[in-house]
Parts: sequence; structure tokens; C-alpha cells
Amino acid sequence: MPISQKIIEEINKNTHWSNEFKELLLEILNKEETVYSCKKEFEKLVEDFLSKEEGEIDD
Amino acid sequence: MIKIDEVRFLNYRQYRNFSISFKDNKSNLFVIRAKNGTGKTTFLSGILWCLYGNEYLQNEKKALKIVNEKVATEASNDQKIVVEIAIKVATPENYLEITRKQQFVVKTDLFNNNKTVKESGKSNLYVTVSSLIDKTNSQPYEGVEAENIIKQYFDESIYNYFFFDGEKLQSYFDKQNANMIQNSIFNISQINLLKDAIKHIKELFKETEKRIQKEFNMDENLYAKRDKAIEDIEKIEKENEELEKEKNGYDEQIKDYENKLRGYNPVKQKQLERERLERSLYNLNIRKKQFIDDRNKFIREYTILLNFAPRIKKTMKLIELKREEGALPPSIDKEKLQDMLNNNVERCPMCNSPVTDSVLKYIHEILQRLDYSQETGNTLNQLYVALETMMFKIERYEEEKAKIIAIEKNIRDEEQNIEDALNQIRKFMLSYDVDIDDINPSEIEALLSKAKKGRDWVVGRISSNKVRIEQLIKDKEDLEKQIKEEEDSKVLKGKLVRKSEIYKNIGDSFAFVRDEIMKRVKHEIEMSTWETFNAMAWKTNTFSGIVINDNYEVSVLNKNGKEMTGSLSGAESMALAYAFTLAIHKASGRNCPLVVDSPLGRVSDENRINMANELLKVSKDKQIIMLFTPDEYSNDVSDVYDNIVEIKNISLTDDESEVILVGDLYE
Repeated sequence: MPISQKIIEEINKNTHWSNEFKELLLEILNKEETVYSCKKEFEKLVEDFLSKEEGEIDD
Repeated sequence: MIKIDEVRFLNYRQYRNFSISFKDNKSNLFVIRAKNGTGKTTFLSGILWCLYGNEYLQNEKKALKIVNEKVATEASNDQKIVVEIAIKVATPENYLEITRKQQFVVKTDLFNNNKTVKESGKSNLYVTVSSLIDKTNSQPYEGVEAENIIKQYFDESIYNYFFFDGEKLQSYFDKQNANMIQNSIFNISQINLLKDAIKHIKELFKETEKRIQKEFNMDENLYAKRDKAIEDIEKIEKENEELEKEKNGYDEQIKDYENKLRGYNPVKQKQLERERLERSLYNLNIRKKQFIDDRNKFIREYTILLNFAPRIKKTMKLIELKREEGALPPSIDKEKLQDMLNNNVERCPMCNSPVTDSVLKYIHEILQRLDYSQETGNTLNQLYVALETMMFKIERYEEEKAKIIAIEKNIRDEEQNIEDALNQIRKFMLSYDVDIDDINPSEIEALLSKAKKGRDWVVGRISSNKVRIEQLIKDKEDLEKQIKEEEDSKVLKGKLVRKSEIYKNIGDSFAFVRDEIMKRVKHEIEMSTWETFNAMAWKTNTFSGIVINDNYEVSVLNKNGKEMTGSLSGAESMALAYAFTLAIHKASGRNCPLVVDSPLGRVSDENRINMANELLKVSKDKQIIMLFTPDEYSNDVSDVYDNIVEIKNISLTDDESEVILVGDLYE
């Protein structure tokens, strides 16, 4: 089931969250909905998020 | 809007071969009219069975099998009958064909011709999802996947908010239903999804925190310790530089004093003799150092040998005993001897001597005595030689010890003799208290002695400082290694700390979104329920609002804000039930159809018209299929619906074995 419009709206309402963080939240929810061992997938998503963050700092 | 286009039955109870379409109508409202006992409720049960494999009958145990009675009666023994119900549903996204099938087998009792119907396996659900544009583009699903599709549209946990009996609507506000509703709303609004995600994120956060605590027990003093070691090394090295200068100063003084004494004839020979003795003492010290090493080696070696002497002796005796018994093979391989016997050789392959019968007999005897292989025999022989060498050394212990003691004594004596000679020269020099040509040997000797003492102290200090420096360098290197490891782990720790922060932020954010959605969904249901209830209830001056608590229990408030749910009339309770049901539909985000048996229940008088009108309004953007008896579909109701809704009359055949579509029931 796709993530409901209500959740997307509520996430987007929070203007103090970065777009990357909002994307991360939605990706995690998608994994929770579709993947059986979602914890491993969560870790991977957070690690990707952190390496992007590190890349930005390096730049 | 989600619409049921068609329902098709095969061999299901009274619905032997029946199909009903809800496609073409002026409105989204449909009426199925049937007399009591002619399959009105069975129609609803059939839909439930198709979607969930459960008819939700009140007394399931006492119910007949779902196979059409006439079909079962007409079947022969062992004949298989398939019961099938298919529902075609049009959604805004796609087209669903939902089918459930179950196979039965008929068994005939040969004595009395009685027939029994038995299930031949469980029922199976199939869902075909087709594109709205191109129906040939379809994807079939079955089992769990098919059930998941049904869950998206008609969640079973709230099935009676899609398909229900109007006469039982009031029971939908029972507490146990409130829990079910809450859970279902949490499912459809994905609050449960958020809750699960929060749970998993919290677990990851805790795991990361534990890892940080376990793996990164940092020693913040390492840098201070390393810096102190560097500081100490520098300090001692500086001190040694000063001491070296001091030593050079003493050396200069000593050289000067010795030159003076060497240049003064009365004491020249004594001074030269002293210099010779000092060289001898220097060489003796080198020998002494070598001797101390040798003595220590001797002590270590003999400590082991003397401790093991009893065992060495015992092992040697054991090997000797085996040798005496002839259990150890001679230098010829046991296998080669065996080959000689086996191959009946004429000449010995080793020495070329003729192999006579007596030789063969001898070889046979040797082989019988040999307990060990050649390899073991060789090892034992080598071991014996080694043990023999050890024993030889042990036997020479006293002799060797005497040698060591003699050498030590010799060195000590020699050292003593030199020291004595040097002391005598020193005394001589000190007593030579004559001041001629500004040279006084006694004074020079005193100064020389002082300079030598000073230099000896300085040399000792430099030497102990060097040992300290070596130790400090080693400490510094160890600390630097630890610091490198800590710094590497700090980077990793930093990453883990950031990771745990992110987990915490994610968890907090999800919790925030969850709470907001819970509030929002509850508020939407409250508002929507109130809107519909207010429209359906004809009293305009009694109610002020509807409140739904966190457990999804519904309360109606009177004008004074007091709860009056318990005081509602039958019609008002029904209005509330409709209002709440429609609100749940709205909250689910899926505009599902309503299939209602006895939609006006026991509502009477003008309230019936009011509610019928309200349902007509609702049907503008929602499909409603209503099942009436001809009595329930009274004139006042028909005044509202006739010419707008399509009425489908169903009835039983004359033999009452199956349902068919008929003309007007009143005709």
C-alpha cells in the first residue's frame, strides 16, 4: 500500500526538516511497508543519508 | 468511488446460478427486494464469503453446507461440485475481479440413498487486477497476495462497516467494536505502520547506543600522558647534555692532573704504573662481564638438567630395557625384512649374502620380537643419544661448578690485587706532600681523586638517564600507538554518535507525525459523523456535537454539552451508526460501497422518509446497495426512491431450490 497522502502532508508540513531528511522518513516508511527485514534496510538508508551528509561537509 | 459492478453466484446456497448487475442506473443507489426467507440475507453472506471466506453467520455450526441443496441432491456418488462467487469491482485506479472457489464432494449412502456433502479442501481466493483502459492488461493474484488486495479496499476487521444489517447497527457502538474500529482506523490511516517503524527505529537506536558504550571507553588522559613522556625525554636529554659537558670538564681536569703527575719525575713511574693498572682493570671488567653472562647461562642450564635428572635416567633405563628385550628394530627396516620373507629372495638385498633357511628363520624370529616400527625405533635411539649427552653433562656438574667458582675467584683476586695496588699508589701520591716548582703531588692526587669521583657520578647519572630515556621512548611509542587507535575509533565513534542522533530524530519525527495523524483522523471522523448525524436527525434543537475519545468510543452531546448517547431513540441510534460508518469510510480514504440489509431497520414514521432521503443524498458520491423486504420498502420509501433507483426483485423458484430475478413482486 503506498504511503498515504495524510502522512506525506504531515511530514512536509515540518519546514524545519531538510528535504533529504523528509525523503529519508518516507523511504523508511516505504521499507517498513514492503520489506520483511526492514531494520537492515533502515540501517542502509541511514548510512546512505550520513554519507551524503559527510559528502556535503567535505565539499 | 469504488463500485460493485456485478455479483455472480454458482451453486451457493439458494443462488444456484445467479448473476446481478449494478452497472447501469440513474443513481448509485440500488434496491434488492425480496420476501423474507428468499435469500436477502444470504446475498450479504455470499459477499462476505467471497471476500473473506467467512459468512459471519450467527449460528454457523447449525447452518447447512454452502452447496446448493438441489445440486447436491441431483449429484451422483463421488461427484464433485464447485461453489463459486465472483464480484466485479470498479475502483478509480483499476478493475478487480474477486473470485472465491471451493470444491465439495457428494457421498451417497448406498443403504438409504442419503447424500452428504463434504468439503474437498479449503476455499481459494483469486483476484485479477486489470487496467481501466485496457482490460486485457491484467495481473492475477491468489492466496496471501489476493487477501492483501482485499484488505486495501474492504479491511475484514471492519467488514460490518461495509456490509451490514440495519437492524443490528446499534451494536456497532459496543466497547469491543470500539477497539476493533480503533485498530482498523490505525491500519487504514497507516498509524500502525508509523508505530511499527518507530518500534524498529527505537531498537536500532538502543543497539547503537549500546555499541558506543561498549566499544568506546575512551581514555582522555592518553594525550597528557604522551605529552608528559615527551617532556620528560626532552628534560632528561637536556640534563644529559649538561652532564656530558660536566664529564668532559672532569675528563679535562683528570687529563691535566695525570699529565702533571706523569711530568713530575719523583712520581712519574707510580703514575705510569697506575695508568697500566687502570687499563688492566678496564680489561678485567670486560672479562668480568663476559664471565657473569657465562655463569648465568651455567645456572640456567644446570637448574633444568638437575631438575630433570631423575626422569632422564628413568627414560634411558626404559629404552635400554626395550633394547635388551630386542623390541627395538635393528638398523634394517622392519618392512624390508618382511619383504625378504614374503618374496623368498635368494640373496640379501642389503649385503648380497645368500639367504639360507637358517637366515630366514632368524629373520622370522627378529620380526616376531619387534614391537616398534623402524621410525619409532630411530626416534628412541636419537632420544637416547640426547639423554646420554644430558647425563654426561649432569655427571660433570661438580667439575663445571668448580671451574666457574675458580674463574670467579680468579677474577675477584685479580680485581682485588689491582684495587690494592691502585690504593697503594693513591696513598703514596697523597703522602707525597712536597711543593716544588708549583707541583704538589699530594694536592694533585686529592684533586684527581675528587675529579674522578665527580666524573664517576656523572657517568653513572648519564647511564641511568639513558635507561630512563629508553623506557620513556618505549612508553611514548606505546601511547602514540594507543592514541592512533583511539583516534581511529573516535572517527568511528563520531559516525556512530551521528547515526544514533539520526535514529533518535527519525523516531521523534515519526512519533510527532503519528500523533498529528491520530488527532487529525479522529477530528475528521468526529466532524464527518456530526455532519451526517445532524442532517439525518430531524431534531434541530437537541444535539450540540459528537465526541470520539482516544479509544474510538462515540458520544453524542446535548445542547448543554452533556452525553446523551444512551438516551437516543432507535432512529437516532441508527442515524448515528450511519453517520459513523460513513465517516469511517471517508477516513479510510477509500470511497467503498455500502451493502445494507434492512437499511431502515425499525425506524418508523417520518423518520423513515428523512433517513431514506439522507441515504439518497449520500448515494450521490457513494454506491449503496439496499436489501428490503416488500414490507420494509413501504409506500413512503418508494415515494422517495421510485424513478430514481433501480429495483431488483428476487424470488425463489416454485420448488424453492434457487433464487431468480423476477418482475415486480407486487405484480
